[in-house]
Amino acid sequence: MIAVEWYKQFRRPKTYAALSIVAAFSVILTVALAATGSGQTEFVGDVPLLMTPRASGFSVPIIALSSTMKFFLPLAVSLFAGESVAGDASWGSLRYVVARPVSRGRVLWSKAAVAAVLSAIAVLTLAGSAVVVGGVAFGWHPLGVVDGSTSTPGHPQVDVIHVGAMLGHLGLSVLYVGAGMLSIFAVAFFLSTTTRRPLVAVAGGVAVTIVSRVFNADYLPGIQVVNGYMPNNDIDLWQHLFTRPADLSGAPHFLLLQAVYFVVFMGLAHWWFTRKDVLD
Amino acid sequence: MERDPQDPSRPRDPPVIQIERLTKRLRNGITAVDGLDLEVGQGQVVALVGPNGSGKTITLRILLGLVRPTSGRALLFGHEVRPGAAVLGRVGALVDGPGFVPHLSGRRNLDLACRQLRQTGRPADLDGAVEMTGLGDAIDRNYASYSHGMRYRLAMAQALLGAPDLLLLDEPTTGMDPAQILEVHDAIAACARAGATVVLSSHQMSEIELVCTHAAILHSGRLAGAGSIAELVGRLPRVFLEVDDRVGAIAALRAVPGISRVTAAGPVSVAVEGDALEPVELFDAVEKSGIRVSGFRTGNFEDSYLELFAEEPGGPSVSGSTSP
Repeated sequence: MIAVEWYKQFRRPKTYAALSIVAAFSVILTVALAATGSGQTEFVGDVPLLMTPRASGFSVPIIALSSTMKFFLPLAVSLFAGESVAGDASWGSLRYVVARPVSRGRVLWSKAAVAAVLSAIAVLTLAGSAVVVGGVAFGWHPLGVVDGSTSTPGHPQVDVIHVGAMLGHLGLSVLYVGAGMLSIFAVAFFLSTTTRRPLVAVAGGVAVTIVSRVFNADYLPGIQVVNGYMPNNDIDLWQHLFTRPADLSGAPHFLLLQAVYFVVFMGLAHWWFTRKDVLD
Repeated sequence: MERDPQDPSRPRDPPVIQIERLTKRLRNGITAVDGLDLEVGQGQVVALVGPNGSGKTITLRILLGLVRPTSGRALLFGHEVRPGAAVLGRVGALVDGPGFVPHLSGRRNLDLACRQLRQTGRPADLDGAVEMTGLGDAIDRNYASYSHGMRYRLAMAQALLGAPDLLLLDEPTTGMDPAQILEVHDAIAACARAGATVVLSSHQMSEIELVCTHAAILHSGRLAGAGSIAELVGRLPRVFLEVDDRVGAIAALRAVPGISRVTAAGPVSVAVEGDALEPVELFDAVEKSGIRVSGFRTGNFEDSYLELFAEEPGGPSVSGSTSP
């Protein structure tokens, strides 16, 4: 079942296009840094990080993850999750898939597994291609970051993250960003079981990140109560892995929130799909 | 041990399809199927006919486990149909048109269907299915590039994968050219010869009369009539004469003994009902009045179907079986 679903989804032109664009993003970013970067220390992301992009190729995956985690990656993940059931419905093939002696739950979770693997590939492709292209362009040197605990105004102290630790931190960052996609994935996947228009499900997944940004207490301090339940407001906390001191106190809450959103919406998807009348 | 088929103690095989008090109310409040009772026996080729919205497609979807009934139940080979039920492995279907992955070739789509079928324990012959489509080199083209007729041919090949014991076909010849329609009819006949049961939803009355052994007529989700095609046609002994003076012919025919009713049936046609109608007598009666008869035909399934609804505008309702 999973093999059949994998073949259907992996051979889609949209899958190729999405993964190619994700990989191309790293190349474009590197070219842009090489062409316009001054080699000076710059702020990166919302945390923010202070680094010299051209001093090490490892800056490229950090910048790539920072600039895609709030829209571009959610869009790719929503595409894979949102198309997974609704795509079959829109082709008219869903009825032939579920009219077989296979439980609907098995059909659904096979689709979920394939969409999840493709989503993971998208995140890994982004980070992996950025490491490779960034290293080729700027070298895989230790990355210097500003140590906020020892810096004083006008006298930044640079802390060096060596290659081994850098790879470890990048791995954790990818896992964190990947985990941050769980809520988006689950919402898009649930919507995919309710419609025969894949775009509706894809838009629903992207809406998660948009709504999160709208109800963000960083911009609207008056909505502090809602802020804690928005699934994507703390997706940038991984950037603290590259700061000194690293403040990751919000990470457990964020990961728990992702797990709750995932369980609730995947549960809803299962409940709905195993009971729905397939009229598509 | 082999049992004598005539042995009364031999357990009777359950009907291939057994529908009991089946009702389906849709979420928009429409009752698509309304207390339907129907039995279909092994080896029958049954037409499911009725006006649009009479519940044919929903009934087929319930039989495939795609739609859950609101009440009542549907059984295939004695097993209640539920989503994913094992008995669905014995069923091939073409419902609501073809549905394939557009970016894959026809061959690859059939290959995926074969793989899924094999996972359920039924053998499926890809090469045989590919040959059955008759698509030639086009089988390796992307499905998205197929014409309407090619898509239906692929869908028929998919429905026939694994030699199903029951074939559910919803208007399988829609949009096909005459040669393709003939191929579908041949495929249905071959299935029936191999012992499979076929349920065919269609609006083509000539197709039904040609292909089907039995019919179940639905109206407003209820069974309006059921039986063999011969029974349903013979229910209303009737002939049609084409004449050059319709009014004169009606007057002349009303005087013939044994005729119960003579009515106009078109601009140059009259319908004659009665028992033991003798064409020669009818010809004589009309021609003696100086009226020329230019055509003659016996009543067919379409006449019976239309008459059934003409009798009761609200739709007749019966419960029954296609089996004798």
